[in-house]
Amino acid sequence: MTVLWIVIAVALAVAALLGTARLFMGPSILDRALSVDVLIASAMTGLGAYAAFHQDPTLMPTLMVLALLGFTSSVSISKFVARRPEEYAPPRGTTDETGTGSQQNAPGKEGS
Amino acid sequence: MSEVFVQVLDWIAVLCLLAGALLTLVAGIGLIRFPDLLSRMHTAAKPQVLGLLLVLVGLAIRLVPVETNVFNAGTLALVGLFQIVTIPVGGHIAARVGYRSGRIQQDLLVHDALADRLAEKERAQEAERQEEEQARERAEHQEGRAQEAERTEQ
Repeated sequence: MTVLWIVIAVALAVAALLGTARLFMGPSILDRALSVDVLIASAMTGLGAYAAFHQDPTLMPTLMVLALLGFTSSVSISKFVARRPEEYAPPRGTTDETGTGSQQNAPGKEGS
Repeated sequence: MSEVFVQVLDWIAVLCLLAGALLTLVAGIGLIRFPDLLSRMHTAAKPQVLGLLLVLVGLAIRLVPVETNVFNAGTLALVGLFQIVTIPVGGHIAARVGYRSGRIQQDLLVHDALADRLAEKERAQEAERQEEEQARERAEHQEGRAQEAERTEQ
């Protein structure tokens, strides 16, 4: 059973690392918001696994708070982007040629 | 509670936790490997939530033999419920903003149903506008005629 616990811990750690990698790479701000969402959810998973390993019910309020607040960051970032989209992305239709990069909306290229 | 029963419960809990952790790992891999925002949103919304729910179930089973007073399986059920309620909201809003600000790779979509509906709506609005314009022109025309008639009378 110890091996299984180790596998669980390693899987969760790798998942969080991959989420962090997307947080650094993510071309647009929405990708980063999404990866923060995933990171919070995997933090909840890790806390749950920790509580299960130690059979410790005192971590449950933390899980509750994260479940209620985890999605606010991505929603507020999305709302923020929705108000001023032209600063973070090229206008509709120009994305197709080069992909979803943020490289092409470098400052000075927006034209307005 | 007998010793054997507790051990069986522990094994079930560990298997649930293992499945949950592997699903979370799958979500992380998908986050890296998928090409655009919409497919990444898929990985954040589905395997992630299922993994979290499996972990919560495992935690609840593991806590069965433990004496818990205030925070028990009900709290875990609430946590799962809140996750199920809030994750679609975040995903929906992020997808909406991504679409409206043009961060969707059109060539990756099999069928863009929203574009069809938007085009339909635009066409309807265009027809309405043309109709209005025609009505206005007709009214102006009639007015001009009336003025002309007045002038000839004078």
